[in-house]
Amino acid sequence: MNMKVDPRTAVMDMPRRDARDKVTGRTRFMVDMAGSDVLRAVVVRAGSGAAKVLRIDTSAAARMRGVRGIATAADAPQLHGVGVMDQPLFVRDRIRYPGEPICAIAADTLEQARAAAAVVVVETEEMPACLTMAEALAPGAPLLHPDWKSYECIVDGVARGGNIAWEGKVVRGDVDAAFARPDVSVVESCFRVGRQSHFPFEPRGAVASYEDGRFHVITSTQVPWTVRAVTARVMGVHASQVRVTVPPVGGAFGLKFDASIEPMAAILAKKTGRTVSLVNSREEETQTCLCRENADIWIRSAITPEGKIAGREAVVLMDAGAYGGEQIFLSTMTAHTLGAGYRLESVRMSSRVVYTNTPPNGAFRSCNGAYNSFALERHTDEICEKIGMDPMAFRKLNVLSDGDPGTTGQIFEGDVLGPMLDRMEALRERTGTREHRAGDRLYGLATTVGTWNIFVGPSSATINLNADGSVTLITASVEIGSGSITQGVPQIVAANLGIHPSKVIVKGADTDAAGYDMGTGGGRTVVSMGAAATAACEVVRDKLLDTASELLQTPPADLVLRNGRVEIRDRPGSGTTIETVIARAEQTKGPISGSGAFTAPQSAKAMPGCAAGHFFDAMDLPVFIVHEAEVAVDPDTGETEVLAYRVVQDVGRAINPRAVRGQIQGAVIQGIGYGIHEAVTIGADGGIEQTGFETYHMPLAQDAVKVEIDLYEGAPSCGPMGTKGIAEVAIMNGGATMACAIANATGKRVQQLPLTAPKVLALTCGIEPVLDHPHISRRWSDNILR
Amino acid sequence: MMTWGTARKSGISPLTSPETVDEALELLAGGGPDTRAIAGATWIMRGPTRGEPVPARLVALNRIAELRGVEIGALSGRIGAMESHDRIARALPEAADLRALAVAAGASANPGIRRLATLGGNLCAVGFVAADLIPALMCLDARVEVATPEGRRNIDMTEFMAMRRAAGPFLVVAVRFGRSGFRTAHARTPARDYPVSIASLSMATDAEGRIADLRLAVGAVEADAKRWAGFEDRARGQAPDPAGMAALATEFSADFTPVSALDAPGWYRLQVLPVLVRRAFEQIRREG
Amino acid sequence: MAVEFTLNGEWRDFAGDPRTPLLDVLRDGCRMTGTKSVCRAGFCGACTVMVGGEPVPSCQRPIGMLEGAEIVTIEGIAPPEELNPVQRAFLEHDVVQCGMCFPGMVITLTDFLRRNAAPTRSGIKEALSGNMCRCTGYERIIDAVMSIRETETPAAEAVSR
Ligand code: FES
Ligand code: FES
Repeated sequence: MNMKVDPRTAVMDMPRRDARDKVTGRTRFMVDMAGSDVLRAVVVRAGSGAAKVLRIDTSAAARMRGVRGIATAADAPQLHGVGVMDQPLFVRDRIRYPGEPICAIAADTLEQARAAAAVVVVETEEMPACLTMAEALAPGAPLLHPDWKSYECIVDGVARGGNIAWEGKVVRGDVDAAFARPDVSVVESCFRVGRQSHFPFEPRGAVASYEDGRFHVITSTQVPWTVRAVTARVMGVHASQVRVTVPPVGGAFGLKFDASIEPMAAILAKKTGRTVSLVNSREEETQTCLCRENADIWIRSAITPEGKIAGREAVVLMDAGAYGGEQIFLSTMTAHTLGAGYRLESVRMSSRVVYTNTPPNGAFRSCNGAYNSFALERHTDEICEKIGMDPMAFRKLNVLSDGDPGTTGQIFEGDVLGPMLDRMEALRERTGTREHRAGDRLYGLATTVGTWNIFVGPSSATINLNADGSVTLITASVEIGSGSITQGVPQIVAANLGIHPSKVIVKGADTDAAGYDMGTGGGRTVVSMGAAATAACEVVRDKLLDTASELLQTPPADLVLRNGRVEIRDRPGSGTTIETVIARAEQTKGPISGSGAFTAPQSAKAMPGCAAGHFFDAMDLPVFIVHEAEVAVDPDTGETEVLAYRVVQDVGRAINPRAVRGQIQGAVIQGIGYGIHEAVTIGADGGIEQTGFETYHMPLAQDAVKVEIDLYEGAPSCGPMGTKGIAEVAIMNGGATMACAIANATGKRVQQLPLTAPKVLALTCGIEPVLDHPHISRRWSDNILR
Repeated sequence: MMTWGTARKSGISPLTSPETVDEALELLAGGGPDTRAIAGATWIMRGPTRGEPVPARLVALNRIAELRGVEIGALSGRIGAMESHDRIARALPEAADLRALAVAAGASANPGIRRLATLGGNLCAVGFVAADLIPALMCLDARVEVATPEGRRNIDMTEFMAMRRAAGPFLVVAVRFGRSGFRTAHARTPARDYPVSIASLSMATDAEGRIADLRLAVGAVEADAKRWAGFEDRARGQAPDPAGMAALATEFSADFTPVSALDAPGWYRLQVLPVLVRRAFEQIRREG
Repeated sequence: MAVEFTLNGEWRDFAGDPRTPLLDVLRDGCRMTGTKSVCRAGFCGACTVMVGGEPVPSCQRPIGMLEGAEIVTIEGIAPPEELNPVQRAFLEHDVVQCGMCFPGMVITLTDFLRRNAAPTRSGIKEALSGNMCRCTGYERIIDAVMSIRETETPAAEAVSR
């Protein structure tokens, strides 16, 4: 049936229901759940990188005081992974990175567990290592996974081999012909980015128990269903034997989009018969962080005399670390981030995931996009410099508009980026610029564009109507701080049922109660879970109107849900309360509840044959951003101050504009952190050198700037009420915009992120070596597996 | 009533709180090899994040009255070792000769740490490269009162920096310095949090406005802060022109062998040093 | 040889290892988990509590140094079921995201406002240099604090417990 719900009734600045407990310290996060009856566990980790394991002996540890159980490789026989099952839970015959788990020990106290960990014997023999992607790709490089062929892979025929864990590629049009044109200018750029560490304030961990023959894992995750699947898989038990529940999550940003140490806690719970808490220390969390990956990018474009892009080719090397993990999936994104935004007459891109003997990388807010937008936008500015065109004019000329094909041949709907650029100019007009605040320092301004895809995908929701007129929303979505399940989805449910969102009770994620959900991340929750909840609302609404129709002697089609009542259309105040209808239904038909489901509409289609090795070929729900920054660079110290930051963001419809702005503010500061503050470095053993807050520098309050925000509404969206995901994409151009603005301020060729003060000073002093990626062939076809 | 932790075996508590300096020295001497004095405790307590466990026995100095007090007279000053950065910053009077010390105490780390971290801790935390107070005290030509089992000594900062690595128990009781007509400045980068390069300056000019006397101490560049004697010798008698002084600093920056660490490579610490020297001279000029 | 101290106005003692950080005494010993353990190194401020009337990082305080100290945590910063003006402003401005930093933010800023009746944005930022937040990008926290200055006199009552 046609719902005819006015989406404007969903729009409000609803406050957060979880805020009161969070500001009074009452919220119980996973890390707060280890009482005196709970065993405390630690992971024993490899002290060095690439090595062959000769012997692991836990017998002395097992005899230590207070030790109740030890989980080892024998307890986790199966490999796991994303796309390719290449990762053991615990080290077996070889160690591939420093910090790799050897075993886990549960004891009465943390001190006892640590003492036992210290006496685990690990005898190894050093092996040759690949610490960089250049080393891993060199001819004759030692293989991290000599048995790669034997690994289970979710799709057949994908290009992979040697130290290349996965390769995605896209080819559209005749790129060679474009570059051969006599009239084009060819612009070539090389870029490199380091890793970014999430530093959620709550580290990864889990509290597990074994009850009635099933595992119960309480964890700080974005993906309860993935944790359920991976925990079961590695132990070799049926997934139905694992229950995952999720309390409020103390920050995630993509880090908690994978199962990590949850299965270890589950194994220990079964072995000890006790509840076990296993939480990473800050040092472990930092040194085994599934970071935003470091990447090397080569990109070349053929530009026509009119300033159009006749051809573009690129190679992106993504460092997976020792195991494929999320990078395998994310290799697909290159076509939609580096390949996005601009109209390309022809294009080819290779996106390769490379194994190295370093800690595995993972997902981080705007995965892959945050650095590909940096590469794309710096390349765009290098093009403008070469052909002598104004960067704004070039962008306005070339950004995708209605009916244009994307990199994979998908036809874009709506003219969005162009008008957003106009809105940015208008916003700048309104706010004014801050050049005067630069003083003696070097001033730079840059405007960049970015494109992201909302990972729509399967979600399900159930709604129960309660006799008091409240409703209970049951989902596996998680509150990670973004507000999507404490503000966005309840607002959608409330608007659909004509009640106030405060009447929507949100059940915490529980895989025993809620149906499958792909997870909270990728900007998908309000869209996918909102759509599933909307479908559930339709079911309960039909039931409500059915009963109300009997009660009010009015056909259902003439009834509307409004202000907590079932009213006769066009007669406000008529009809009866929703409570009355629910009570009546309980007597006549039984309590009202309903479920709904959603998955990607699959309406977006790529051009056949364009893409290979992709998890999806077309973007289901593209979102766009325009960012602009003004910076002042101190030429004496290389320090960058962000004077102003402006955002025009395609939000579809902002149903909670205040919350949307809060997400954008937070994401932009994280993006600025990526651009100029946050550096992860890899040491001589392949390990992450930073150990915590002392050595990893995130933005402080003094580094923040108030972001001027213009919400661009009305772009096409398959999301409920026209919504789009907003929190993911908002970080995407932080690095890009910092880089372009600093390049403009200093007049230097910025090729790398992060641009910490020493890096910028090295650039301005001319002592930073030029990057030219000798490990990437200038003949594109050499950069793909055949 | 809470009970927690495992029962203690030895008779000596892992943390003792003596009331006098002598008592503290006795505990330090008798505590065994893994015994450390703690003042604000901020360096020791974050040891585990550097891979250094908290020592087996701690001798807390917070109950020793003699280690307290900020007394600034017209001719001299004394600051007790247990005074925190925050207390020092708030207790120092507004005066040109104390400005560097006030800035050093008031800008270091963050407010919470400044309320805990002490003068004595700053002086004694070997390995803590970013200590702000040390170069500022060097500019004041401060003397350090050190108590050892053999008795008390008053030594200058340079001597103290050498002896602080020495074996054997010792305690810093206080620092003392003479008041002077010198003008001082403390320039550091980055301006907040922990610095990766510090120039602390104190200077007197003659009737012609030339540098009659100066002290320039450099922190966070080498493992230990030090007076830059080479610079001082050449700067005396010259005009305190910031650009000229920066040029001089550049010329003689080979006097340092900078440390590299995750927060900044060595070359950077050295590269920004002339800038900080310039800024220190500019501050002094600005404040007349 | 137990250490005695007052916690939110109540006498407590602790007989474990006196080197134990106050943070762990609160969280593990007293099971008061409002105070958060995040960096354990004096950088993030999530563990901030009032000791002797001053906000300090509890991860940096060995309990053995706190004999007789008066300690106030987030659980005691306002009477039960009441919010102090800082907490109220955080709610009113939809400031909170994951929430892990907020107990420390509340303690630091409550004390800050008591000492600074008319703060500036940059003054608040300086006061927060030891209270980090990974989620919010700070500015809304500053907005909330500035709004208190505009609407009411700071809450001396809330910290005096
Ligand atoms: S946990 Fe104490 S300051 Fe971060
Ligand atoms: S709200 Fe998450 S750290 Fe501040």
